[in-house]
Amino acid sequence: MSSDIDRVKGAILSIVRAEMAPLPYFARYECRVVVQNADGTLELMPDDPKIPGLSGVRIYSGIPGVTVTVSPGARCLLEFAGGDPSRPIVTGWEPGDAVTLSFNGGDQKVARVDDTVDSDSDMARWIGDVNTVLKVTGNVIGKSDLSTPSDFGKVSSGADVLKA
Amino acid sequence: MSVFLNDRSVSALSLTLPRIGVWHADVSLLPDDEVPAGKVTLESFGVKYQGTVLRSDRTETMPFARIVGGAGGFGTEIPAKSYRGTDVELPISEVLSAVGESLSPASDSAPLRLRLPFWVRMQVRAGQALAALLAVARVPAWRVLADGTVWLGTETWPQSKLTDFHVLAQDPHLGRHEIYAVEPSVFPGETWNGMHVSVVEHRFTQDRLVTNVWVES
Repeated sequence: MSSDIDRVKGAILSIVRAEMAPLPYFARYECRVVVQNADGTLELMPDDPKIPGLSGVRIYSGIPGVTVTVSPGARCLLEFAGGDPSRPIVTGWEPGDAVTLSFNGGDQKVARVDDTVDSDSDMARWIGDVNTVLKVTGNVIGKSDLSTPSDFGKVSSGADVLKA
Repeated sequence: MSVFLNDRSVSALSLTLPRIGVWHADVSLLPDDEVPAGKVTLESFGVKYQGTVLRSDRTETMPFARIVGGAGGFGTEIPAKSYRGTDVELPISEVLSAVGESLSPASDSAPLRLRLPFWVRMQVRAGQALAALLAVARVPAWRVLADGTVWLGTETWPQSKLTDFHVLAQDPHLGRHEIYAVEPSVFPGETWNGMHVSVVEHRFTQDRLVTNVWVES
């Protein structure tokens, strides 16, 4: 009798399992980045052994125009868009794992408050011109010679919206 | 009336042939027969069914066995694997081969050419993996054939060859027709008596043969 009941339970469990089969594709899985390809996609190794290693997975950063560059070993979250096994995507990251974030394909560095403003060759030439004037006009400000500063202080204000 | 298991007569048979899925049979043998195991050939009224013994034992009087079509592998868990840029036929074939099953050459070929940019198979039972692939390929039907291979495709509902039969009982609300035929040559996926056949069940003992035909429309 008990084997008959176990068999019935097994049959019911099989039916339930079959109906629930798509559910694992709606979960999110922690992964390690093996390497980032030149096209920005990722080679991933999930922590869960029931998920295979994946190749060429796209990153959905969640912000329009943002491109993410990461180092091997970065930790991310894998999910399947719409629960579709044919649409794996990376949608999340552990804090501190981005090498670069670029916006709309830009490649210029972003300045922040307290970053120094460097002097450059144009400024050096201007200082030289000022020195020439000082030598001609004499001791106007108590100095007859100016030296080119290494920097011109720090960025004092920035946008409230973007922080880095 | 003739039913054999590995060329040996059986004392009783219940053979269920579904339109979707794996056929299975419960067989009782003769008292002196050995308990069957492994791959077997079930011959039922001229049709040979290639299957595998799922479980078997002996009662006080006779051996019995539950046999399933093909290799009986759909309940087996298979390893995770991912694919890129392949026709859906490859992951389907690999699911089947991983558990000893094989694709029937009679399967519809067009849906198997669906291109998958990605496919991620988790570590699941082969039947679940196959169901997910058939859903994405929009293959409406699959079943294990008598030869043990797996057919995939769209039904064409060919006309059944069974014309000589006697109706014993009918349950219209269940779509069930209980009939007797000397050679009950009706199969799921056929059109019989103007109706689409969903499941066929043969019940055989030494002195009685009954066939139940469930229809879909």
